[in-house]
Amino acid sequence: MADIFPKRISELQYSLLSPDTMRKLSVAKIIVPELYDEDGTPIRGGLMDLRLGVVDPSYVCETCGKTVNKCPGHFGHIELARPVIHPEFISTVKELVNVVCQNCGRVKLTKQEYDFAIKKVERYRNNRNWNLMYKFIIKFVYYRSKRRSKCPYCSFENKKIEFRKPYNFYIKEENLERKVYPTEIRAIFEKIKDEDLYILGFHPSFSRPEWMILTVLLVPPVTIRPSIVLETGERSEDDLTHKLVDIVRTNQRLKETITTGAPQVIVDDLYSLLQYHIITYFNNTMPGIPVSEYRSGKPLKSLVERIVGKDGIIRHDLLGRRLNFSSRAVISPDTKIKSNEVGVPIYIAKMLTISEKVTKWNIEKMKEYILNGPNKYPGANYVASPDGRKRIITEENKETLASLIEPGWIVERHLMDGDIVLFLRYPSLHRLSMMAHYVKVLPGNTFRISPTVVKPYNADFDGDEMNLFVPRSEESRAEAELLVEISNNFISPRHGNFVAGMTQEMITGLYLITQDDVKLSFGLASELVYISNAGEEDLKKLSRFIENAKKEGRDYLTGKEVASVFLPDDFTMQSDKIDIRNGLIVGGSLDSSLTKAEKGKLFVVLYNLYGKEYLASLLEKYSLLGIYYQYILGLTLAISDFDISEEGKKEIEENIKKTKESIDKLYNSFRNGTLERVRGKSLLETYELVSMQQIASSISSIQDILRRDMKKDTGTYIMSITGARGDWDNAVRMAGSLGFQAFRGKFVNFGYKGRNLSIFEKDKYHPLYYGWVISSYREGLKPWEMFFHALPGRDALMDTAIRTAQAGYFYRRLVLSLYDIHVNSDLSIKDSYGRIVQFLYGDDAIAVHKSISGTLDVKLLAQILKTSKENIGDGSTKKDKRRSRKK
Amino acid sequence: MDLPKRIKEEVEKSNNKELYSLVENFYNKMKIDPGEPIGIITAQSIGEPTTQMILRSFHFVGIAQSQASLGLPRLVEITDARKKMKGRYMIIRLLDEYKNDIKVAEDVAKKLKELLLEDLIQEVSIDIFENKIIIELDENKMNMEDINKTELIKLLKKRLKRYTVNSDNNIVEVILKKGKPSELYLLKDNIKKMLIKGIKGIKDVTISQENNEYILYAIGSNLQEVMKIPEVDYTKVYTNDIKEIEKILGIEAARNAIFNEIKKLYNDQGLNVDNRHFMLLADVLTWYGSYLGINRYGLHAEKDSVLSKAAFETPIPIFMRASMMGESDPVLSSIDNIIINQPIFLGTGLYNIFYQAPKNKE
Repeated sequence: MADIFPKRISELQYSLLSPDTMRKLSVAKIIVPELYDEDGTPIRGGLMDLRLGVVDPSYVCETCGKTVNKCPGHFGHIELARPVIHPEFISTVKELVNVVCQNCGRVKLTKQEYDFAIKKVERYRNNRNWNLMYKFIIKFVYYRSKRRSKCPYCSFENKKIEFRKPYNFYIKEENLERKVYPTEIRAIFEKIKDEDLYILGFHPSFSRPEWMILTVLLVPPVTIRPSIVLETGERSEDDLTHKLVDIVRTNQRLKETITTGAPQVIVDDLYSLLQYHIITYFNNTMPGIPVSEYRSGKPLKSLVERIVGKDGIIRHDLLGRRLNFSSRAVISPDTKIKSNEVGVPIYIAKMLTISEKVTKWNIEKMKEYILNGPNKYPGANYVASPDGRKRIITEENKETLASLIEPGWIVERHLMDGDIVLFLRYPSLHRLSMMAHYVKVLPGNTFRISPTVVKPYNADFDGDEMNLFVPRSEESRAEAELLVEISNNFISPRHGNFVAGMTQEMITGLYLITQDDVKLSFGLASELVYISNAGEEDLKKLSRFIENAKKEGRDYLTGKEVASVFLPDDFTMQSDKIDIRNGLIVGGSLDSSLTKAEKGKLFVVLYNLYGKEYLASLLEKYSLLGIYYQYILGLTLAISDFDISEEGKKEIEENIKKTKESIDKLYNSFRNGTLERVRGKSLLETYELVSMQQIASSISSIQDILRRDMKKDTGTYIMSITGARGDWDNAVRMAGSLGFQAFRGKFVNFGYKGRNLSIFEKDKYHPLYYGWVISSYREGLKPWEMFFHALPGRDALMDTAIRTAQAGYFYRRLVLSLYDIHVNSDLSIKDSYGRIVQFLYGDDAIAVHKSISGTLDVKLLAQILKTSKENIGDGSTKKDKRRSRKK
Repeated sequence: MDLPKRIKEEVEKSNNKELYSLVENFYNKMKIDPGEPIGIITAQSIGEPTTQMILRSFHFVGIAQSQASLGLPRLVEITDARKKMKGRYMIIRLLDEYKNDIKVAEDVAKKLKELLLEDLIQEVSIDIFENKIIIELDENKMNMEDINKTELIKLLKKRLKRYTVNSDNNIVEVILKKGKPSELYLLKDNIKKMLIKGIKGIKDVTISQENNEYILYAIGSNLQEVMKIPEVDYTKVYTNDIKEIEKILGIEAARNAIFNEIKKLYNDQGLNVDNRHFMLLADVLTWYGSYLGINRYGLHAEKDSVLSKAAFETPIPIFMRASMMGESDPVLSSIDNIIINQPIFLGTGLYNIFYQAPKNKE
């Protein structure tokens, strides 16, 4: 970093600008309200004065002599005829004017209070405790001295200067109310002694209170308020220029009226007009002040509005910046790509480049790229000589450029296989939304990613688009590989589970192949292993399995054996779902709790024991194995999956009948008023609550019936028990009954008077007419039931729309209050100012994204130790074993 | 570094030296890296699941009538440190010797539930001409609540010492000697809300039986008074009002309450988030020694850096204050450094690599 950032800003100092500083800053005094003369050249002394910078390419800046985009712009100034209060300081001025003595300018504190305050403020200032200092000044200095009318120093009896919105001050003198002009207030502030400033929160070298009342107005350079030429040839000025013209014009008129000795009323009018223009120039959204508009009624955009808010300078431009070397395309799945790769279309690979320094070792390769040119892959787009000159490679000049380059030059070559790139999907809600992948250049027009890694991006392939960005420096590429690369981030920092994993048919396939009775001929088994991209070691293991089987007199391999081929030989894991011993699945089967993304317990353990490279390849192998086994076997979903026996049907009917009866009873007791109220709820609420509960319990008993009665060998059933897709709630809706369709937790209740639809009996507040859907999807819904069923869906849509906004704001606040907190060298948690939050992170300093589901599982390690002893006979860890095996 | 206590105990139980070294190995591997921006990770881990939160989740047993907010609104309530929170409730457990006794539970429930004068009267009316308030007592309601009329009137006389109180059968008159009519209206409201019995703030109490134990669920909350009741096991009293816990039991208790509340909230929603994140959030919310919310009046107002504050909300007043006081800032915060285009002090930006070039031996 030292090379790129040779100097560092170590401190920022905020201060007010004094009139003198403003005059020194200024290069031009603005006195003319007109902008251009008849030929359209800027008037000297006008607001578009050429000394203030240039926005028109036909001129040169008179101050620095530079042209458009080179000249940074220079400030001008306006000498105000009368002082004007800075609008953003009005609230401070109104407080301060009653804090100091109007006669002698001292703060109205006793000697004792004064000494106390000055000591305290000094300490706060030295420690940079600005918040505490501010609180102290408001609560002590301001509070005490405002209440005191008699000055302890000169015994002057101060009258209260009252502030009246929007910007006027009044004082009561002998029952006569008199307006106090900013001139007078400024005079009072000027009297304040330098040493008194500290306890008022000011600092003599950075800020004096009278500087809050402007006598000079700084005019921003034209570069921040450029004028644009419309198609009609007409010039259109920026909002700020318009406002400044108003200010200059009013100011000149005020000056004239004062010098000609016009009556006080006219001067007052112009004075308050000037104050108004300056207020709306700074802030056009001030409450109580009429908004300054164009003639069309569109409000002018003031300085404050440029800074504030989401589209303001701070959040829009300073905290978020645009970048080059990025691309965006639709994503599609590719099961044969590795989980840490991304498929990049050739046409994108040709546009994105990586800058490679020419050395004597790669010069031949680089020449080859240059000779290929920008259109033939793999080629190059630019070369840069050591002096920094950049040349575009074209078909015409590629030969000459290729002969020109020598070590030290930089070649911008096309993206190639093995380059590292950042890949991200919006909304980027967590850090796993942006991870680094290795490039795999492929034909086609979309980005390709492995379906095993879509979960952290929260992506699917229904038209999702993702962004890809090429890191530019060696340093950033190194960080991308070591920190951001996807296989480094397989464990979520949120819960410590494995984020990548199997989906859909991979889960069912792996579940089916690990069933007890699966017998695969040696041929088929080998085919499955080969198709799953098996490595050398896997093949060795496969042949070992086959030999063993032959020894045992089998002419087949079990499915469990085939699935075990990819597991390490010394791996052992026992749980209620699976029993793996020495790399062989002995019992149980692989289902979603072991292999699904964000659940896969199997993968977390393997990741911690055998490392990321192994896991990245295992994901690929297992996904292919699952897919191909499922492909051979087939999995069908049919309406007949939901067929249930006659008894089952009868039972469900019986159940619904019973529920109906009990609800009828409930309805009657509700009408009679005999229903016992739940405490804290009204009769109606109780009735709604109880009837909904009854229907819900009826649904859950229907679910029990289905669980017992549904066919066990159907596609639906397998999907549901493996956890690949669908659960029992879905099954009940399809085969049993939909249940109550609550709208915002209540009965559906609108439409006609006393009933929802015209077909219902009036004033019968019975669930059947207010949202109960008895039919199932399989039977089909009754017309009114369809309406009921459509309601919660729409309700949920509205709900999501509102909640995302709420969640977004909550998230923003959360991040902005925590972003600076980091781990210190001693594993304590501090913020960037060195204040401690925690002495040891999470009480045990374990990083969630390096743990196994958030813990260090001693039992698991004990198990591993036990088996490794049995097998290997020494105490070395898994990783050492694997390493030695590799050698 | 030594193993954490929990793990150490677990390993030492097995008395296996090899296991100890293996665990130590793994622990060193799992330790968090210095420079890790754990604050951002925490914020992401807590913030990302909020987009998946569902509004309606299942109420838990025993407190169906509670109006307590759930899900995202509750999370916002906790992190905002709201003083006036919705749906406060308490869970009160009795001491071991009483916990199986329904009679004691009922007694305590009666003691807890607040009884206001307005629950015992038919009407309160104002007589402006004679400057008095007329209270009409309801004997039925009084019988239901086991209130003796004469005692009630005695109590009223005691409470309203400043005024003349006359009683005649069911009518009680409160006469103001002097004062404006507006005072009458104020007094009328005060009389209606007068606490006759029970604990202020406890609106309703239900008893439920769980595992052979009677547990009291109270709507409303008053930690201090409930803990004083002798039959109540004060070590197990629960309230969901964190501000109250902070006031009565102190900041560390509030920190634990925040941790437990947020954890419970995420568990109820079925979202899997590690405890360490809740810990850090709870620690930050109570960082300044008081429970501050994550908003521009709370935690964000306490930030030292001007640009960081300005990047959140209301930048103009912040800049104005900074320039007025002549504030200075050592630009350590990452937002400041991003704004002025410098590397930030987080992660790899926190440390430098120095390479000592081998000296030429020539």
